[in-house]
Amino acid sequence: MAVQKITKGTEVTLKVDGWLDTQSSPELEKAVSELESNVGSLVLDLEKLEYISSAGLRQIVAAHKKMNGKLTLRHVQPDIMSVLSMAGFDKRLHIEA
Amino acid sequence: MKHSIQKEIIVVLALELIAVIAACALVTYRNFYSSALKTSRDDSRNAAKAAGTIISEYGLDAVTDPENKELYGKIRRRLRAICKAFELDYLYIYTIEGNDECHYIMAVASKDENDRIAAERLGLGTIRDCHPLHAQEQAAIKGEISDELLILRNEFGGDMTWIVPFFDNNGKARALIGADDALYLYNAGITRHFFVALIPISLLIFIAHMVLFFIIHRRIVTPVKTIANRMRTFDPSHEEEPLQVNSQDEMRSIAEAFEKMSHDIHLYIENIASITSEREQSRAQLDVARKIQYGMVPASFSENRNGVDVSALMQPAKEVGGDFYDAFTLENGNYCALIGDVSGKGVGGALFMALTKSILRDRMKQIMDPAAVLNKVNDDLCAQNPEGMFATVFVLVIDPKTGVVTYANAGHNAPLLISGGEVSFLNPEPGIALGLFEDAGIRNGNLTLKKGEGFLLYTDGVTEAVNTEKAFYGAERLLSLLKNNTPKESSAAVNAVKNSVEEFFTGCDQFDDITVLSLFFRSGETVCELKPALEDFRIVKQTVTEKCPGSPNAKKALLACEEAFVNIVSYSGASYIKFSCSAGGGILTVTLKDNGIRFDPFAGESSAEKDFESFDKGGMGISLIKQIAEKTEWRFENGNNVLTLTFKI
Repeated sequence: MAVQKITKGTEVTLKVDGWLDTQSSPELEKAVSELESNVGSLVLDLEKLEYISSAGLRQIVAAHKKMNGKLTLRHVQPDIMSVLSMAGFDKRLHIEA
Repeated sequence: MKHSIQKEIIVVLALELIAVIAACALVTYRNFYSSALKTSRDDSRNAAKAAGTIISEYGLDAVTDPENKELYGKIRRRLRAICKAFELDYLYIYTIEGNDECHYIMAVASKDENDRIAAERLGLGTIRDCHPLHAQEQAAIKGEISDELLILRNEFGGDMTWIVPFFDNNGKARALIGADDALYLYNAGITRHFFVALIPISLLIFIAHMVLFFIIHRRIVTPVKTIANRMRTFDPSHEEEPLQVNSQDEMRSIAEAFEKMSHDIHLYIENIASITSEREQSRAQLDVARKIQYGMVPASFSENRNGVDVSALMQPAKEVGGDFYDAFTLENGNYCALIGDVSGKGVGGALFMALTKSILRDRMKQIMDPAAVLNKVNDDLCAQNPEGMFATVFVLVIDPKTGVVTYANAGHNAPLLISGGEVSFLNPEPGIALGLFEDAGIRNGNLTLKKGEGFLLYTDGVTEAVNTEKAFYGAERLLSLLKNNTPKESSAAVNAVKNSVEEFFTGCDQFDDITVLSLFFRSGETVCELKPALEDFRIVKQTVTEKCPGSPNAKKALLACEEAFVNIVSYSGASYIKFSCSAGGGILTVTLKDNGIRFDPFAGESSAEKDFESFDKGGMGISLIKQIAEKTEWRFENGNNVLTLTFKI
């Protein structure tokens, strides 16, 4: 898995590629925890995310809490979307296709 | 050194020196003593006779006339002159009256003091008791002279006295004349002469002994020390200068003998060193051969995938052996297992084994038919086998979808077949060992295994293991071992045989390699035991991915498996997770079996409606499993949680 950080003004985009599972989720956790306090909004670009497990989902919830809801999931692929739906994330998070 | 020759020689020489000098002293002393005695005697008697002559001139009566003092004084002066001239202490004349009375007539002394005393106390008419008479006196009375020694010690000092008779003109012994030679002068004379003679003699003897000592020291002690020193510091690793021994005698020959011996030792050691290094080299080569063998044939092997459960082990004997086995998947999806034993041991055997095993694997991957491969490999080996080595091989190929087994034998031990709850020897055509004759004409045999049935392949290291009573392990013992406890999986079969054989030959050396391979047919099922650690999930991931090629649901199934696996790893406290997975008819079945705390993941309320805000605390996994899996089942069986998940693929 790879996490790439793109900063544009106060908006930060984290591109999360590959497999986000129990073993790799600490990388995302680290990237989120290292965000500066002046970040206004966070975008998770999941265009190249191939796989997500509950450990990955937990990191998304943690990011959502940290940003006080100012979190957007972008470029979510169908496979990932179906997992998000199963967890009920589609009702609570701002998701862009 | 406790004793030293040199010290002993010094002691002996010193003692001898003392003894010789003492002997010389004794002899010298005796010589001088008797010569001094004789001189003293002769001088004293001559003096006495001279005195007698003077007295004779006047006659004894005139001398003893008390009125004629002038004459008495004159004679006294003359006698004293004689006394002085002869260096006597005293000179006196007396008669013996009765038997024991000395009547002195006159006494003179050399020294003035003594002479005054003598005149006073031993003057004319002085009578002294002289009982008993001495032999010299008795002889003198008779007119004779005795040589009996008379030492007088009285108030006049210690003197050696010589007495001669005084004859009157008629030749009759009228009186006695005594001449006293001073004893201390006499002794001093002896002592002086003694030392004058003894000191040069002693010096000569001493010098002679020193010369002897130096000869011994130079000719014996020094060479012995030199040789001993060389022996003590003898270093076999390098040759030294020749020994410097300054002699041409026995010591020289000892030194030469030692030099010859040390030279021989050097040669011997060089010889040993070269032999040892050659041996080291060949041992190193054997080690390399053994490493090559281990590299080619691992000590143990286990694989359980695609419907085939294979385990093997090889326990090499002390030397590099010639056993080998191999197991691999063929391109057509069939699985090949083979076992073999080459005729030689050591480096040659290992090389031949390596060659045979490589060609077999190569040919199997190309041709995929056991008999065809064995015949081809036989031809290859016959063409390049100048040493006339050979290999026995049994090859089988199983179709993991159907359980159909094709096998062929090249002179190897008949394998055991575990089928229908029975264990029996498979009865293949024996074939002929590879590498001996061209056109071996080996043919395939066929059989079909049902699920849970398998083979045990082994080499003659098993059946020909020898125990302390020189008995063979034997095929029958092997057969009854498996019959009594029929194994259901390959690792159990292999370990049972290994333990049984090892127990059998306990206390003996292992003569031959022991190689066992077992294969069971599992019908598309993969079973493996995992550690409860996240990194072992990669095996599940790999297996599930392999079982669902191209399926759109593969990742979701994997997600469910991950959730279940992570739960066991995180919460159960299990020491193992047994994972099995099979696919067929569009269904993927995954079973996870763990020995952790009893926990039914599906017993609680569905957590699908769990508060989103508390999601990051966990607990979503089971909800996901339930949503993804077609069917979920949990049971507790023999202390194990058994979770079975079924997915559509």
